[in-house]
Amino acid sequence: MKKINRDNFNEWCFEFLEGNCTENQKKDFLSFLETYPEYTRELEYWEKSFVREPLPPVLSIEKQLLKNDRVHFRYWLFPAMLLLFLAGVWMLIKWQPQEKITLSVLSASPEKKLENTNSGTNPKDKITVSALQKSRASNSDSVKNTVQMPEPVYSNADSSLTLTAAPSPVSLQDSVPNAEALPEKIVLSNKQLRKIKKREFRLKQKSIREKRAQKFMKGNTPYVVPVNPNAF
Amino acid sequence: MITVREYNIAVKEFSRNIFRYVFKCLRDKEASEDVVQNCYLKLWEHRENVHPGKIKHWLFVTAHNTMLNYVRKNSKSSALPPDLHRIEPYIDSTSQFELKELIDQALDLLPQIQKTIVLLRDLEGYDYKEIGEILELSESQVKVYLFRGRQKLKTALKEFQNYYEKN
Repeated sequence: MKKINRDNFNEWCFEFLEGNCTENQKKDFLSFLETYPEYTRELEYWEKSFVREPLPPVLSIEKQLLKNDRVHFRYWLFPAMLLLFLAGVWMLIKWQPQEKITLSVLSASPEKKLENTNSGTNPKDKITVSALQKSRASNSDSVKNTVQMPEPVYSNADSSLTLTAAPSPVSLQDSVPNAEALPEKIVLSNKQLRKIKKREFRLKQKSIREKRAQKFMKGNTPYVVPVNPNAF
Repeated sequence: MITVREYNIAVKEFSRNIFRYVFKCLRDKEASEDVVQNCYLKLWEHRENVHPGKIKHWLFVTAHNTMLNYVRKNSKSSALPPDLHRIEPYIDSTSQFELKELIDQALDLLPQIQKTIVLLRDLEGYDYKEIGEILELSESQVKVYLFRGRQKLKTALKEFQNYYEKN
C-alpha cells in the first residue's frame, strides 16, 4: 500500500476499518490523523457507513419450515412385519423336527437302519439300529428261532403315526435298548384313530366268532374242502 | 446428504440471518419470507447433494439468486433510483434523526452487487473469499466493490449530515 497522504486517505480509512492494516500501517494512519485532525470527521463517516442490524425475532414461518423428526409409521411397519415373519419361520424350523420323525422298523432285514428322515438338518436325530438288531437277536430266542414274522411297521407321514401291520409278539420297548430316543408322544389324526378303532372292532368280532366256532365244534377241527382239487 | 435433524438445525440457526439479508435488500417482509421459504424448500429438495458443513453457504447462494430473480420480475413495477446524487433524505421535524434509516435509504441506492457485498460483509461477517464464492467473483473484485459501496454510503451520510446542519 502506498504511503498515506491526502489523496489516498479514503483507501487508508477503508483498509484500517476492514482490519487489513499491519501494526506499522496502523501507527502511520493514527499519526496522520494526529497531524491532520480535520480528517478525523471523515473517519467517523466511514465508521458510520458500516451496516449494523440485530437479528430479527423468531420468524412466523419457522414452524412451517421445520420437518418432523419422528420416523413415520410406514417406515418401520415393513421391517417389523419382516422381523415377525422371520421369527415365525425360525420357530417353525426350531420345533418341527420333534414332530416330523419317520420311524420305520423292519426287523426282518437286519441290515436296514432306523433313521430319522429329517436328520439332514440335525445329525443327533439319526438313530442307527444295527445294535438294536444284535440285541434283539441275542436277547429274544423266540425271535431268533421262529420263522420270519410279520413285523410292525410304523410310518409317520404328515407328522402322525400309522400302524400298518399286525402287532408283533416282540414289543418295541423290549427290543430297543435306546428307545428313549424315540418320541414319547405320538399324535394320531382323527382318521387314523377311526381306522385303529375299526380294526380293533374287527379283531374283537373275529375273536368272538372264533370262540363261538370252537364252542360249537367242541374242540374238533372241521374238515375243509380244498379249493384246488388237484392238490389232493 | 442432509438429515432431517440437520435440516431443522439449519432452519433454527440460519433462517433469521437469511431473512435479515433478504429483507435488507428487498424492503418487503412478505417477499423476504417467500424467498426464505423458497430457499429451504430448495434445500430440502437438494438435500442429497448438499454437504452438511456448507449449508449456510448454500443457503446464502440460493437466497441471493432467488432474490435476484424476484428483483428482475418486479423491476418493471418498482424501479430503483439510479443515481446516488438524487438523495433527498426524508426529515421529519417531529421525529428524531435515525442513522439506521438513512443507511437503509443509502443502501437502496447502491447497485445490487455492491449492496449484497456490503450486507454479506457487515451482517454475516463473511471474508472476501467467501463472498466471492457466493457471488462467483474474485477476491480483488469483492474488495473493489466493497470499497465503492462503502464510499458511496459514507458520501451519502456526509451529505445528509451537511444538509441537516444547514437546516
